[in-house]
Amino acid sequence: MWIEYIYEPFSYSFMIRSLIVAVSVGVILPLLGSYVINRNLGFMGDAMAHASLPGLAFGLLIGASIFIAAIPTAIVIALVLGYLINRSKIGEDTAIGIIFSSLFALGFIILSIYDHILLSVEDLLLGQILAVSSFDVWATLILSTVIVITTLFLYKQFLFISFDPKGAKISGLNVRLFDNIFLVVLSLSIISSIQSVGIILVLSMLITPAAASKLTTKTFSAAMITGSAFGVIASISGLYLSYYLDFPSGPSMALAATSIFIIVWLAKRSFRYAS
Amino acid sequence: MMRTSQNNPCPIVSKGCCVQLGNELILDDVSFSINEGNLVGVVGPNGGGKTTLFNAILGLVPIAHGSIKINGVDPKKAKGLIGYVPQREEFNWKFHVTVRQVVQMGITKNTSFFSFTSKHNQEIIEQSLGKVALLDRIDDRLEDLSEGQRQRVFLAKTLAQGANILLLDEAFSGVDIGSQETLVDVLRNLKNDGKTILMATHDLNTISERFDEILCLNRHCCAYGDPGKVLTKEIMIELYGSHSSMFKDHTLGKHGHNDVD
Repeated sequence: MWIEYIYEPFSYSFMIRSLIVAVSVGVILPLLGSYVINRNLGFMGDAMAHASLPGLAFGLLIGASIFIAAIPTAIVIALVLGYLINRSKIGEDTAIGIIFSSLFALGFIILSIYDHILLSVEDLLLGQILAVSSFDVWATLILSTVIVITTLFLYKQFLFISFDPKGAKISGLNVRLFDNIFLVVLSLSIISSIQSVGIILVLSMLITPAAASKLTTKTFSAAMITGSAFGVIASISGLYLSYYLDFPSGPSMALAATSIFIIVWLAKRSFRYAS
Repeated sequence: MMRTSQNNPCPIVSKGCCVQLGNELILDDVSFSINEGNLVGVVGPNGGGKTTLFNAILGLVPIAHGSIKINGVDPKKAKGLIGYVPQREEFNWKFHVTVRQVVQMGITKNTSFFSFTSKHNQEIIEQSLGKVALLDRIDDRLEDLSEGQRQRVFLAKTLAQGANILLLDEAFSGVDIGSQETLVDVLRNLKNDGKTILMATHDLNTISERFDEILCLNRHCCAYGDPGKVLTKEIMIELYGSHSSMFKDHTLGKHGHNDVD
C-alpha cells in the first residue's frame, strides 16, 4: 500500500526528531520571510547565514551543539548588522558584503586548522536534517516557540517599522530598538535552521514560501500564515525526499519550496485567464 | 497677510532656526510662525531645505541654533501631534499591506498588543478613511491604488494618529490634476476641522488658489504670507535665481515660455 510509504519512515525515532525540526523550520522561516521579501532583505538573510560559520565552528570546537552555538552567534551578527545599517558610510550592501564574506572565510579557516572537529562541511552547507539529536529537537522547539511568540507579540511594531520606518519614528515608536529585536529574531531563525537546510539554501526556505503566499493573499498577516503553511509542506516533502532518495535535506526542501511557488503561480495565472 | 492672533498659541513657531547637516548649513536663521487652521504651501528650489525644515519640525534632525516650538514645546516632545505624508520616492509602494493596515499603523503607538480588531479602533480607521473619501477602498491592497489615493491613505493614517499638524512632502508630484484637486478638497475640509497643514510643492501656477499662505525657502526664509503679495519679482529671483524669469507671470497658461501659436 502506498500509504505505508508515508508513515513507514516514522517508525524510526530519528525520523520523528527530523520531522519536528522540519516543521519548526517550515513555520519560522516563512514567518520572517514575509518581512524579508517586503523589505528587500534577501541579501542580508544570505549574509547572516554565511557569517554564522565562525560562530558555529567555534561552538563545535568547544563541544557545544550547533543549536547552542547558534544563539550567541545570531545575536552578535544581528547587532553588528543593526549598527552597520545605521552607521555605514560606504553603503549598507557593501559593508555587509565585506564583513560577512570575510566571516564565512574565517569560519573555513577555523575548520581547516582544527580538523578534529567532527563535522562534514557538506552537511553544514547543504543541511543534514536526519542527523539531529534529541537535544537538538528540544533546542529547536524552545527557540522556535520564542521566535513565534515574539513575532506574533510584536507583529504591529515589526510591520510599522518595516513598512514606514520614518513614520514609526515620528509617531514616537522606538524604531532602533524594535529593528534590533527584529534582526535578532531573524538571525536566530536563520541560524537555527542551518542544520536542516544548510548555509547556502536557508535563503530558499526564507524567501520562496513567503513569495508564493504573497501571490495568493491580500493582507500581510494572511501572507505570514499561508507562508508558514507552504513552508511546512515544503520541509516535510523535503524530508521524504531526503529519506527515500538519500538527497541532502537542504536541496530537497529548496526544490519542494520552488515547486510550490511554481504551482501557485500557474494556478493564479490560469485562474486569472479563466475569470 | 498674517491672521490676527487667536487664543491658542501658534502651533508652529520657528525662531532663528539653523540646521547643519555635515558641514553644510541647510537652514540659516529661519523664522516664521504659523497660525492654527492654516493651509501653507512651502516653495523653493530643490536643495532649498524644504525636507530638512520638515525633518526639523518632526524632531528628526538636531537644531544647531534657534528653536522650533510645536504648541509651545520642543519637537521631540511633540511626537504624535504631527502627521507626515512622505514623498513617493521615500517609499516601497509594493509592500504587501491593505489600506486598512496602513491606517491602523497610525494607532499602533496608542494601542496595546493584539487589540487591532477592537470596535473602537475600527471606528477610528473608518472615520479617518471617510475624511479622505477612501472608505470604499478600505480592504484593497495599497499597490492597487493610484498615486493620489496613496497620498490620501497616508493622510488618513495621520488622522487616525490624532495629529493636528500635517506635513506633506511634495504630495502633488506624479499626481494628475484631477487627483490633485481631490487632495486639495480633502485638505480644505481638514483645515476647516482645525488642522494646520504644511505642504511642500513645486507647482507655483496654482499656488494662490490652493493655499492660504506660502513659505518661500531657499536655505533661509525668503518670505512668508499671502501668496498673492509674497511672490514678488525680487522673491522669485531670491528663490530661483536666473531661472526665475520662467515664472514671472505665474498664472495658468502664461508660464513665460515662448510657445508657438
